[in-house]
Amino acid sequence: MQSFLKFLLLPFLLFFLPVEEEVEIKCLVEIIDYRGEGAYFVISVLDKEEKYIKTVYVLGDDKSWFSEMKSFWIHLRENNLFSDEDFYPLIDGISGPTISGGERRVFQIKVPKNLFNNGYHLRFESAVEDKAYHLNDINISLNTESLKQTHMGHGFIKKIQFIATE
Amino acid sequence: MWRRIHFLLAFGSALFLFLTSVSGFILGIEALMDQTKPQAIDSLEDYSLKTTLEKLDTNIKEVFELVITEKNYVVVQGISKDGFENFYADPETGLKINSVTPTSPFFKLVRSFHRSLFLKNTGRIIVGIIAFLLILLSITGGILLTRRIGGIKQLFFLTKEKNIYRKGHIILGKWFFIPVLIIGFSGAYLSIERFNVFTNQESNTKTYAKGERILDLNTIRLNDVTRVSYPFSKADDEVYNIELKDRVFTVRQGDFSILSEEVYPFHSLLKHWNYYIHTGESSVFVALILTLAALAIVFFMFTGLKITSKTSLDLLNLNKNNLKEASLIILYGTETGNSYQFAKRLAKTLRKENHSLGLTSLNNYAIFPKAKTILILTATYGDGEAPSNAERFEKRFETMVQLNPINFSILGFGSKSYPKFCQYAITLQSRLEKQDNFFSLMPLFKINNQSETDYCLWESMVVNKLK
Repeated sequence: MQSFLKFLLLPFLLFFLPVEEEVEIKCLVEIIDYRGEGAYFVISVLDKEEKYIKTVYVLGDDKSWFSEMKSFWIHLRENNLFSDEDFYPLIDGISGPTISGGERRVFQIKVPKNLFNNGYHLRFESAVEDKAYHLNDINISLNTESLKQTHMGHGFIKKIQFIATE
Repeated sequence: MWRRIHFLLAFGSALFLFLTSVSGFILGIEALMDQTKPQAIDSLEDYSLKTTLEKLDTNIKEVFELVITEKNYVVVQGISKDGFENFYADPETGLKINSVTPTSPFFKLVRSFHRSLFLKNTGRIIVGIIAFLLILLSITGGILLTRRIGGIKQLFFLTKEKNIYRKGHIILGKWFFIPVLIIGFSGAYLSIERFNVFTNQESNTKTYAKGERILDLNTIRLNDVTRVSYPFSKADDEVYNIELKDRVFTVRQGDFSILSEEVYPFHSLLKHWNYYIHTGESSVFVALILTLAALAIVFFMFTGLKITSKTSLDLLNLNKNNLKEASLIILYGTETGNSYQFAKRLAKTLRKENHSLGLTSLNNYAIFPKAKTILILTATYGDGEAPSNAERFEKRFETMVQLNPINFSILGFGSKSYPKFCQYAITLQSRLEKQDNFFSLMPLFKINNQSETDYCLWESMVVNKLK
């Protein structure tokens, strides 16, 4: 009987639960001019100890190449996020194709509001088949001030710009 | 000679050619399936870029990018009512048709295999070489085909051929010579292109002042567009990037005045065209032909193998026994192996009659020191020419004079459905008759369509004459 009540109450409880507020960030990524395969990216929010808190975006739809982004891959392995069912729901945006040399791409990421202006970091890892892997292609503070600036990348990213809507 | 080259090419590339054909066939099926999906827009040329952009602006919250794929899909990246996403849009209404889902892992695997056999750059080189060999195969095959049927005009007539494998090989050759050649060329081009061989060509860029030239989006048809990137923000230096198949414009926000126009170098157009013709992704018609052609290559290999096993392999294992000691020499000229089979049969019969004999092809004609009798069994190739293993006979016959007087008899194989029935045997008969020391044992005998009774008749006549 009690469990039945719980079952009835569940929808109401869910309805009244506070919806997690998010910051919408529009990103413009420009890639350096190189020749070869398209670049893979993974964008994650890290805490001060460089621990993965949330992966907000993955660029490149072939999961078999994710292992090229070594640090991210270790994180997936340590947390047993191998299978598609475990992995994909964690990521809000999976954009289809990779970006090739000289191209630019605009996309939107969403970050929980409690991670914003709170000492967290936004990291872009990048990798290109047969070329290189950059752990901190972009690694910036996740706050209003930082997102107003244009950031230069250290690897395959030439530069990056943001428009954040809180 | 062409026949040998054709055989060696096929033999050398067989394994990889088989693998790439089968994977190519599967990819052809994929291309056909992709064209039946709702997001595949049949007539992109019916839509102007202007109407499509306007429709998208009214129906989508914010567009970041518009891409027209090789498969005629209109892909929009931006923020719809479901949030930020990548989706297929209808160019007429600007509405979402489907979300973009990753390609099925199976087809992705097949594509990767078809391109590089899972061997990355090594594999790409191998596949490139295979494509190149395919060009040579189709060219040598084309030469053989026209010679075999007696001229290009004959392409449009029915094939006269009894053997089902040979007939299949010829008919497929008529139908698929050109598609296979194109697959070879475009495949080889795409492989070479992959290694950035053509980077020396520069594109041609022009810049314009603000307001000097306005881009009329009405004149741009969607089938010419590859990508439209929207400005990131309202800032003045943020522009539209409008990529067409042959050029790319940067265009100012607001008045759409052109800031720069870059015309791509020729090789990028060439790549585009080769991609179109090799994948058939944007046309059901091309995809269908490619799929059938991939299947045809597999059938070529199968029928080719059936023909080959009858001739070339037997010929390679030929045992050149006691030609120096034999008093009776059997020479054969064969294209399909039939004359060879009959020659072996004749040898068996005559051995039972205790003749010391040697068996070899007409090309191996030599001075046979103890020969007293020469029996020739030969087919005719194409328009009265020598079969491939008799091509050198006449030249050798001129220079090599036999030591003893020779009795000879010729048996011609052919089909009365050809106008020049047994022509090569006739040529040989008149040539040998003119030779000193050569005496015709009995008149030329011709066999139509490998008639069993006729052969037995001739064989018994020969056996009697030689007693």
